[in-house]
Amino acid sequence: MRLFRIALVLAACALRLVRAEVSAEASLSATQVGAGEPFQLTVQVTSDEKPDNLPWPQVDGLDHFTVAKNTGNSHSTQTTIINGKISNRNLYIVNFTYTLTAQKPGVYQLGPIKYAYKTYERTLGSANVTVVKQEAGLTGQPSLSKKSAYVGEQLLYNLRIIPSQGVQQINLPQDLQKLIGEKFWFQRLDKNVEAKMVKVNGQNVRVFDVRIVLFPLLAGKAELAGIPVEYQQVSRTQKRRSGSMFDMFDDEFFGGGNVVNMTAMAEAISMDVLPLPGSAPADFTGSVGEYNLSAVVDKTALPSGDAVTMTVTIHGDGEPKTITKPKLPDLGQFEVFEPEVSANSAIQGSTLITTKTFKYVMVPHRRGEYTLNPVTFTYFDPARKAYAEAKSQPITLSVSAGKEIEGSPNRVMSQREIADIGSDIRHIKSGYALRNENDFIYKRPWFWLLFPPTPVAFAMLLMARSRSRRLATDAILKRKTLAGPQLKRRLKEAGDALKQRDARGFYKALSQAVVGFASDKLNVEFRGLTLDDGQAKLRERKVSEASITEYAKVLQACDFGQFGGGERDEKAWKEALMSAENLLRMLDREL
Amino acid sequence: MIARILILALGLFAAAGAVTPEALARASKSFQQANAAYEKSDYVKSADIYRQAIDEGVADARLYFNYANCMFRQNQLGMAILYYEKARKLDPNDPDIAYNLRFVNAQIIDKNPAPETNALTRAIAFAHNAFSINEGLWIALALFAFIWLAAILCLYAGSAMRTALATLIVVAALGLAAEAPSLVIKIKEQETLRYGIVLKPAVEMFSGPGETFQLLTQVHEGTKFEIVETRGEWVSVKLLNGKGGFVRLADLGKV
Repeated sequence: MRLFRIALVLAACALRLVRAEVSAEASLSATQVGAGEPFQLTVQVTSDEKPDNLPWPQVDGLDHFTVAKNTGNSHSTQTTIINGKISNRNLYIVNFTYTLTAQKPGVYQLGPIKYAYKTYERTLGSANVTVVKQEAGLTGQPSLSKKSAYVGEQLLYNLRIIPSQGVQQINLPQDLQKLIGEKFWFQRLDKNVEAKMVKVNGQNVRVFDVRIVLFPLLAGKAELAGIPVEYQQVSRTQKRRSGSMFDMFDDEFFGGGNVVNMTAMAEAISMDVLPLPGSAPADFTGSVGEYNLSAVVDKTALPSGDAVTMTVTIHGDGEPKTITKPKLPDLGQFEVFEPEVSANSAIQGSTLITTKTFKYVMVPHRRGEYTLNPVTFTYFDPARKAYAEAKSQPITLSVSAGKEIEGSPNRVMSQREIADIGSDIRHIKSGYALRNENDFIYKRPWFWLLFPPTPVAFAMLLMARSRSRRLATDAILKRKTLAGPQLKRRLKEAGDALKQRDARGFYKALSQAVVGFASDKLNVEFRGLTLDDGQAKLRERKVSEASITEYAKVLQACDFGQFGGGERDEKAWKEALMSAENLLRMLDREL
Repeated sequence: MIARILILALGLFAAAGAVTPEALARASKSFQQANAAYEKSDYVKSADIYRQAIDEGVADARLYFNYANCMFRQNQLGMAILYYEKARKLDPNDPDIAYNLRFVNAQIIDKNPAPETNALTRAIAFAHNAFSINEGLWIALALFAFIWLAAILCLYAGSAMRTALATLIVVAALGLAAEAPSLVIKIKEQETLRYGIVLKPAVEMFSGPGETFQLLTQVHEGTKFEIVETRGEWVSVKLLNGKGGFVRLADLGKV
């Protein structure tokens, strides 16, 4: 900040109350300033005693300025020796500082400035401040190399500054990204902004060129905001002369001018960013510009198992980050390792050129003559408005048989693999009859039918054993259970007697079958069961009267057949047998 | 659920037994002829004759193994790995198949190792692969029958014998319980899981089923994939390390 201490003397106003303990004076840092350029008005109040809550001065004419106020305190001791007598005097100084900025050119009166504190009250004077149009900054417009460009295409933004007298140094703000925004990737071409002499309208003029390369990131209308340019302006100080011999050091000859940091705003500039055409190739990774590619190998003849390094260099003016790995040709007979990548960006004239190098280490596994097809890199060429391919020349490699066995890859292998290498695959299998091993048995129903028999057998045997155990311990159950088989046996005897035409035997067997079945079911002794007992027992068991009557009828018929010389014809016997079977079914149901 | 199981079972049964005895006889004859050609180092001829046997529909681990050897001799590493894999699927315990497969895999470009596993996982995997599906099924049937027969004997055995039989039943039941999940997984893999082998020198893998999708990487002959699904001419595949993408169906051979 340039600090002109204009001697603003409001000399008459340099009032000091000699006897008073308080004095005040006012000073201005400049009486001529540029629009927007800040300057200071300072009112310094000095007191012998430590002041307490000093009031601010009263200043008229501040309406034309934007004002920022602050105060500062200091303390000093003044020592005087008069006739060997030493005396000390404490001075307390308070500075009331107004930082003023006028936006419009013109002449403004500042003041009168008054200060009052306790009994002290003075008018410190007034001054005119001339605000002029800012002239030190830019002449001419910022320019773009193109008003219309594709996404990712390199552009040159050039801001030419023709400084006025006294401009020493020009700087751009540190955080340009914030100003340029998210729509561009950029890089400054010059680290420092240096002055140079160029001819403008036939005259040598000192200029500063600020050059920035831009890469638009988004299609559409893009506006590049105004960039604030900071510079240092040296001005001669107009300061109140105290009459001291040291005043001469304030002269410009002694470098006594004030240096003021100034800022000027470059104008905003807009442009059209064109989108890239659709249907981009699959391997296009966003590089836009002009590119070329070269691929070289460090050797063209080598034994298998040895490594060859292929260096692929891509060189172009697109955005550096968009240069990605090139597309390699089919290298099926080679083991290719991840490339070592290096990149470098350099300025050629007003263009940022990026060179990216990919070093591929490749190991051929088999001997032979190999012609490697070109390595390619796809980009968009704005000049031709089309996608293009940078490609290398084909490379021929002659691979001889290596020391190692062919097929041994030059890489880290497991112990198992190392053991394998150096031998051969195992020989074919012969002497077998083929079989269709794809015939899985789970697809065959018979296989699943093999599962149930054993659990079914177990279940049946378990049930049989359980029944057998119950019959052994339960006589009633056993009698009931055996009633059926006994009946079958006796009916069979009756049938046999019928075949032999033995009437007595037939009726006896039939009678025993009926009585035996009833006694088994009623759980009574067979031999003691008379007809009456039998009927009574059946009634006790709630057997129907029809069945009881039939029971009596069948037994009486049997008795008659055995002992009374009953029916001799076969038809009557069969009817008796049927009646007995019918009765037995009824009893089986009801008992 | 029951209906689905029945449909699956019927489908499985219907698919069984596709090779006729006549076809098997013809394939066996071709197999012998191809072996003879191979012994004379006529790998092209032997490969053709093995191919005829394979085309008869016969799936035999030795046939696949020999054909894979022919492919390797002709430097077709992808086809060699494909048929070694097919052979190993039918006979997972054959040391020759495992050796040749490892030998050829050591020569392909892409290294596609399965994720690192601990000793326990390796032991389980070993047990899982110890038997083929048919062997496993016969063992399961034998254990099952043994358990029930021993149970029947228990019904009539004395106390000391019953204790011994009960111990054997428990051991057999544990063996069956351990084998059953392995069998289920194998059968499910047999019916659903498919692997593919890259057969061309270099194949591009995209992020979607088409060339308009992002090119992810390039894979080379012999690389093994798990086939996730097929979409027209493209298949979604997964590398053994879990990464995946889409490749053309025509570039793969299915194991």
